[in-house]
Amino acid sequence: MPEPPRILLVEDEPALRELMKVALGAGYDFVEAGDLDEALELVRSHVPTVVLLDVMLPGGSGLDVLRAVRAEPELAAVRVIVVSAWQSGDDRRVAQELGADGFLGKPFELEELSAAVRELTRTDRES
Amino acid sequence: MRRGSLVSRVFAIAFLVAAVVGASFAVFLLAVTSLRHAVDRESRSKDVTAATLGVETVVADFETGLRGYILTRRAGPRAPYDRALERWSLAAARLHLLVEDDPVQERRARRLTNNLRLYVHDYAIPVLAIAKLDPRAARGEASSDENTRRLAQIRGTLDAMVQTERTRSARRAASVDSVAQRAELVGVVGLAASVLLVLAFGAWIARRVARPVRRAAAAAAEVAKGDFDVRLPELGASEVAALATAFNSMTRALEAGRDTLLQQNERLQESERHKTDLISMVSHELRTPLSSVLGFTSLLLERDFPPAERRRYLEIVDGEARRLAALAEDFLDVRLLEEGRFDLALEPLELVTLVREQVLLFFGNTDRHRLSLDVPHQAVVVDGDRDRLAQVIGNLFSNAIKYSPDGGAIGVQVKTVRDRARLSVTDDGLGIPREHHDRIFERFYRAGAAAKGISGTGIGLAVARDIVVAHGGEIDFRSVEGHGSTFWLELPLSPSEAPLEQAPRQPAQPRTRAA
Repeated sequence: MPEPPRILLVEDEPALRELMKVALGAGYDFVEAGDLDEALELVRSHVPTVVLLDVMLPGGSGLDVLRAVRAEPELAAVRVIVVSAWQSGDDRRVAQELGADGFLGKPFELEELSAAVRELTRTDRES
Repeated sequence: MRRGSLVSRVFAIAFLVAAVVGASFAVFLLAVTSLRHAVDRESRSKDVTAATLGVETVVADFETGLRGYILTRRAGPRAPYDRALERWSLAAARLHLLVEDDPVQERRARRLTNNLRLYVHDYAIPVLAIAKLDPRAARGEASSDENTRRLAQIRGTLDAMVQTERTRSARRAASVDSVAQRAELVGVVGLAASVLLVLAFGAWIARRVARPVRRAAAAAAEVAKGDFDVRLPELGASEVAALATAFNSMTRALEAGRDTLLQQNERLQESERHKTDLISMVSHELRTPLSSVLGFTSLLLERDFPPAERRRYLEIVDGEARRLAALAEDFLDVRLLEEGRFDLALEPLELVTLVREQVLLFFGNTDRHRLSLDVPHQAVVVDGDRDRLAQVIGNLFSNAIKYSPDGGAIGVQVKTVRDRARLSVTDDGLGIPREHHDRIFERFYRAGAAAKGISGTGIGLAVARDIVVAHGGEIDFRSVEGHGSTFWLELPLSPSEAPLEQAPRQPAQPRTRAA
């Protein structure tokens, strides 16, 4: 039996972390971070398959995590989905420029979330 | 700095110019008058000379007529004598008349008249009478020494008179010449002085009036181009200085007006930026709880959960929906703030109890922050609106938590200071940079918190201040960036309760009716 894909949930609202865990179901190994420092620490120590990344975090911008992922060779395989409440287009554009693998705006449809994560984890297994 | 009036100076200089021109003209007029006088005298001199000639002619006529008669004894050659006899007294009288205002000549004229009379009566008439009887005797008489002497005397007097007139005439001509020369000189000098004065006057006017006016015009053009820094020197004649002063105060007023407008514009632009920020902030603040509400609702609708989990999710939905409602309240508060109406339902309420309730609500399930609560044992009663004060206290607590993201100690203290209740909330979080201190209570002002990833609307403190002020209290803070903040508020103690509160501290006044 293969290891379940590891998902890092970066989100300062505990309710939303719980929602994402319940929505994605039991097929994943979840790691949770509530602020920027924690997120940077966990992405390096756990090297997750997918990061669900909130942008506005205590301690700074979640996009710093994306930058770190794209800058460090050990994290090259990590896929990042940016989840932002900023719908102004700025976050989406910046996320794309930084090389995000997906973008979800809050409030998001659970189906969208599941589909995006499924897609990235399956692609990962094939490669 | 001497500041004469321009008008008085212009009048003074014009008067000077007029005086110089007038004086030159007067001298000139005098010269012309004396010239005319000299010409008069000159013509009279000629008359005198002519009159002496007339007298000489008469004498010559006497001689010619007498000799002719003595030789021929005929009436024809005697005619000059007859003519002279008719005329001699008239000729002498005319000469006398011409020189009567000249003592020397008049004396000579009188002597001449006497000699002439003696010649006519003592010689000419008797000789003619003798010649009628005895021409030979008359011839001897005519050539006698006596007659010759008499004629010489008459001719000498006439010569002297003519000579005198000639000398005088020459002298007069010289004096007329010098007068004319002097008049010419005065005329030329006066004219030149007048011209120079007028030119100097023109130059002075140009310098004192035209130049400042030109300078003012140039400055006005600068102002028209939008340069309000232009200033005119406030010097010179009083009118020019007054113009410069008025001009300068105008540019100063324009400058001040422009600066005010620029500042207002700056403020408007900033407020506009804040509004834009607010709109995206509102959308962000709404989306986060909305994500939970929608997400859990669709989970609950699509799947079956055990009752305990079901209940937990519903509680989350309930909590997030309440958060949304609270946000809606916040924005309503902003509207009330903007419209300037706050309806307070005042009642005596116990502050420590209220603080404890809010502490439970905000610090009940945080383990990142260590709370220390320092409150008195006695009741602290203020007249206040329960919900509004709870909102203010809750806001201070949530700020203390929000702005110390790394956790840490939070101190809450209630005490009474004289007739006021004081609540302070201290955190050791991020603190507020110095440059934001003045504006922290402004609506939508967030002191750069968005960049630090701290959510909020910038409404809380603005509403808090309005509520506290409406209660007759005050709210303030001190903060050092990187070392946390202390926010405190003071409210007046309820008047009916204040004496009760203070009574135990004054044992000198025993209370007879202690409860």
